[in-house]
Formats: sequence, structure tokens, C-alpha cells
Amino acid sequence: MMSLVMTTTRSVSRWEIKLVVVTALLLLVAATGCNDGSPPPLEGPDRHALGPADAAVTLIAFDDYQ
Amino acid sequence: MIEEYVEPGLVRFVSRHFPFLGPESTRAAEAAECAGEQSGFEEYSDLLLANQQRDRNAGGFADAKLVALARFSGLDDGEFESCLLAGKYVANVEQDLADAGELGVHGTPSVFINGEFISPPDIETVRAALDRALAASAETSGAN
Repeated sequence: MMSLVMTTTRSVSRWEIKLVVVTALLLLVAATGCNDGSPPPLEGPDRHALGPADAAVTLIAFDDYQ
Repeated sequence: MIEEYVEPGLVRFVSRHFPFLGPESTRAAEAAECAGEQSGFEEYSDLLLANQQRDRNAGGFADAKLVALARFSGLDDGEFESCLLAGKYVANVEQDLADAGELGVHGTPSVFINGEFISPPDIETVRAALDRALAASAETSGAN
């Protein structure tokens, strides 16, 4: 058993550890879309808005016409 | 609610597209944007909502119908049709759709008040949320 454990431990080489680290970093970058991970601004391009821009409260409605 | 909250300047109302029900949803959203070029976004949007068809994507919002609605609402239909056929606002509508997806929007209407998702989006719930937000804003202003 001891021999098996030693063999398993020794089989993880340094380049394999590097590979795991690099892969993890790549996955992290992909998951965050190369940005800070924050959602897009709710108000968006603000093409169609009613009411003053400095109103205390902003209501944003996403809608479909069908 | 527009008269009660927006017209007195208490609330800013922002309209964004989430055309998730098929190609005529998308086309109608683009058409509303074209109406907006002639300052007719709100009126044309109301007209679209009033002309919803039971059968989706079955021609109710085909280009010819969209142009006819523009004519009916008093817009310059030639200018409107040029805008629509040119696909002038395809990217804008796609951006709204992508943003909605990232924000977790799954259906319509989806309402956010000061960034908080409001559910269900019925009149009573939205009104209560607006009143809460206005009260919180007044407290903050009073504290400063």
C-alpha cells in the first residue's frame, strides 16, 4: 500500500501541476468574459426614457410586443 | 402610473426590449425604434401592444403591417419603411436582448426599480415598490 501511495504521489509532476493551474486560470478568464464580471448597466443606451434623468427613482421595464 | 409618478418628475421610466417570442417580436421592437426617430416611440409602442395577435409570428407584425401601423399613427411611412428595411436598429435590439439575458430576465414584462428586480410585475406590486423607493430616497435626502 505504501508503495502504491508513493507511486501515485510521484506521478504528479511539476508540469502537470502547471497545466492544472493554467487551465484553471483560463477557465476563470472565460467565466468572467475578460471583464470584472459585473452585469451590464440596467439603463442601457437609454434611447427611450420618460421623466428627468436625475429622478430619485428609476423604473426600467423590459417588454415584448407579441 | 405615468401620470402619477413620471409626469411630476418623481420617477424616470426607461423602456427596453426583450423580444423573446420570435422573429416578429424582434421586428416589432426594431419598428418601435424606427418610430422613435420621428418622436413616435410611445404612441407606436401602445399601438403595437393594442394590436397583439393571438397567433404569434403569423404575420401580425409582418413588415407591411408594421408600416401600416406607422401610417395609422401619423408617422411618415416612407421614412419609417426605409428605416425598418435598412435594419437600422437591429444591433440596438440585439443589445437589449443580450443585456436582458445577462440580467436574468426570462419573461415580460420584467421590471427593475433602482436596480431591484420586482416580482410579480403587476400594478399593485410595482406601485408598492415605487412608493418604498421614493420613501427611502426621501429619508436619504433628509439625512443629508
